[in-house]
Amino acid sequence: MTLKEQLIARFGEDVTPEPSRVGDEVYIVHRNRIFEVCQYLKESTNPKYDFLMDLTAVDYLHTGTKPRFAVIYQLYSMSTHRRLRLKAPVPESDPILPTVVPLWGVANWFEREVWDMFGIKFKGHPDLRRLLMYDEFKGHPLRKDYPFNKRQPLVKNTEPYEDTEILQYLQRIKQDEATQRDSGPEYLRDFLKRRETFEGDRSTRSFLLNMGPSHPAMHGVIHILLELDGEYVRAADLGIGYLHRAFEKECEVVKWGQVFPYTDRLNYVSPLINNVAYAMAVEKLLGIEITERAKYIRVIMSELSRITDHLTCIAANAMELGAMTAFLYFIEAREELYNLIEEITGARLTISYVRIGGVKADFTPDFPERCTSAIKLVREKLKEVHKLLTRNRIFYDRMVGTGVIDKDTALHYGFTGPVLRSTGIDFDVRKANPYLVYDEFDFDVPYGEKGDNYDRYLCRMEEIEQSCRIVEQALAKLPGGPLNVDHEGKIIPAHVMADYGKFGKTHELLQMEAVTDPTLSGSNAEFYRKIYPDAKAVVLPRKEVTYSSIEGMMNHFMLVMEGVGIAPEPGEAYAAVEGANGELGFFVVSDGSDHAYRVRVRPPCFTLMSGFHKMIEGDQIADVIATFGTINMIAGELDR
Amino acid sequence: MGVKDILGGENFLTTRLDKAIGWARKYSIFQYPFVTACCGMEFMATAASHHDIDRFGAGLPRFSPRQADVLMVVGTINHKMAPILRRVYEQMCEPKWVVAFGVCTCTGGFYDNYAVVQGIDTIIPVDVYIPGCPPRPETVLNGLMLLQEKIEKGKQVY
Repeated sequence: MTLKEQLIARFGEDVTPEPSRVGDEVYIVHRNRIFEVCQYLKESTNPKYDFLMDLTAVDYLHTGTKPRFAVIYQLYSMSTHRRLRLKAPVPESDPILPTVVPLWGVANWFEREVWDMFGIKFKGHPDLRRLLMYDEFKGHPLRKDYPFNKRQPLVKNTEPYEDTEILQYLQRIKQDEATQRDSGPEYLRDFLKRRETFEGDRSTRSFLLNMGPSHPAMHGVIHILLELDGEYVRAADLGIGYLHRAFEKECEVVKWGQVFPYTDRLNYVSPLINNVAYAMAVEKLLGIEITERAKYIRVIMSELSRITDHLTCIAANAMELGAMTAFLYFIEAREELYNLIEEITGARLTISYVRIGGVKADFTPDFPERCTSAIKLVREKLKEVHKLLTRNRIFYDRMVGTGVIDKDTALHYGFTGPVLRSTGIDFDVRKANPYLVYDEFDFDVPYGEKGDNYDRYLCRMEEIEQSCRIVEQALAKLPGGPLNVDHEGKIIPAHVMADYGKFGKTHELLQMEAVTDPTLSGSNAEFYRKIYPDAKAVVLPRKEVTYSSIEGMMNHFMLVMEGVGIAPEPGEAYAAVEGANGELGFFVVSDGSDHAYRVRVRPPCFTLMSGFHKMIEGDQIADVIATFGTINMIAGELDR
Repeated sequence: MGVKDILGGENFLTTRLDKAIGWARKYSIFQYPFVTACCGMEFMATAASHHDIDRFGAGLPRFSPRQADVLMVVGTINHKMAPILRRVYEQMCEPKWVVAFGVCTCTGGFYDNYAVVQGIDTIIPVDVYIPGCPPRPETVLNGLMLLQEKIEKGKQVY
């Protein structure tokens, strides 16, 4: 029995399949039955969709779709690697639907975010507070009727920091409880109860400690409220949102192609992967296939980015544990990679390199050589750091057996990437759902056993090596030939392509022997056709054509002007890649205009942080530093 | 020409107290890196061996505001973070200086939206602005040298 039959047999008219132009599997579910449908999919269907990848909402105010909101559930089947999307329409007049927190722990934060951003409530949610914005903020910023630049007055203070303030806070919760109001964090309420019912010596009573946001090991942007029993962490509550920069709202203001600079700044340690993921989502929506060479370039650049990410993570982690030398060694290797990336993209960090339909520039002629020598340096440093850290007594003692998380909890909290793999589950999007040309390479996915900090460290170290292998193989296979496709997907030879540039009065101009830099200062036909498909609706024409023919100029004009340009047909698409921290997904919605209607990121850090308290509870306070380091939380994508 | 020749055989020299203190202060900067965002990556690069901020006497970060002279605000400050930044600034002892590192701290950058503070100079006074998204390590060092010049030439409080 297919999934559709199973669902319809069980739920009748409450579940209806929605046709998807891009091939995603989508069902519309009546909002009151969402919990039952999710439970059924998680436990009973064949295959089971047992993993909650993402939960978000869309405000359909401007498209005229009724009802106004829809809550989106992205489910994933760990056994068959299939994806499924559920949509639960929610009317504006009564924005409430049942929670799915009992099924997936990660839904706790996702639903809090949806409440914060859209004002949709979840019945039965244990702790429905704002997540990214502060309590004093009025309104819900991702609603379409909230102006994107409407700033509210600065508040004096947003979190309880002083002990007296915490006590006042607790007092407030107590009053709320007396009046049967469901507010205040669940964790603080429990603490209050424990504190009140405590019998015994007052000096041994547990106490609260604020860690962050301005704390060097919290990377400046995380606030952890720890309940301490001596040196041991009894419970923890995380506060995030200190780097909320309204990424998703900004994407709705700018044009499709202008989103790239914002994606750079999501996970700013591996920006190229973000670029690729966004481009893939939009290309899926547009239905265009990029050239073979562009695919290889994207793979190489993604893997270089992954190496820089892991280098930075391990370097910072080691530094926070006192191993400054390892930090300096790895940053040296990273510097070399930055130089390499800069040569191709023009920037060290915020690169905006990928374009819808290809990449901005081709490799320089000496790139393979330089890349090989950079990889050699990375391997050298890797070896040295292995010597410095892996069997280092201090490092070993602080990493082994701390920050432990088991398989089931990790899946419950939606973990992906190295943190999930450290528990012994070898889930990697590059292997499970191969994209670009990853299925053509021979590489291993390292995974651990115990799910502690040491396993995570080793996983990352090994992944650096595996990324080096992928880059080497990709460089060896890099197709250089005149590969390109036309609208029908046919491959056309280079001389036919060259003719495209020769219409109009440009004959003599094009015959001139002019050698331009193949990367930045100009385009030339030679590199252009290797990395861009022949899709006039999305790809800017070559500079020669723009400046010398009316058709080229019109094409260019149509793509860059406000109101026209890249405009996918109305539709929705989800595309995912393996980011450095786990599955990085983009869910894009188009209403047919040149602006994205909604861009949603599925940030890997977000789920990791939502389960972070499970990793530190029971550990000592010093282990919080080590554990936080191996998570590799990047605030840009956590808070967006 | 050695030091002895400059001093003319004497083992002392005369200067103004202000100048001497300024000279000493500019090479002993204890910075507080208030790192929030992407710029932190370039801050790390500046601090590490390739660019080596230690050459300018600013190599030692202090993570307690009470021990720091220079507040380096590295990365976007949003409305939730603003009160904390303000409090950290107020906790620092005089004399103190503030560096706005990156365009988000200078003007808000391309984040002109409901969440982001449009320049940290709306909350705290700023001495040196280092633009760039993120600024390259060379720009950062240039900014640091400008700050040193300002520290040296400014009126000394002691």
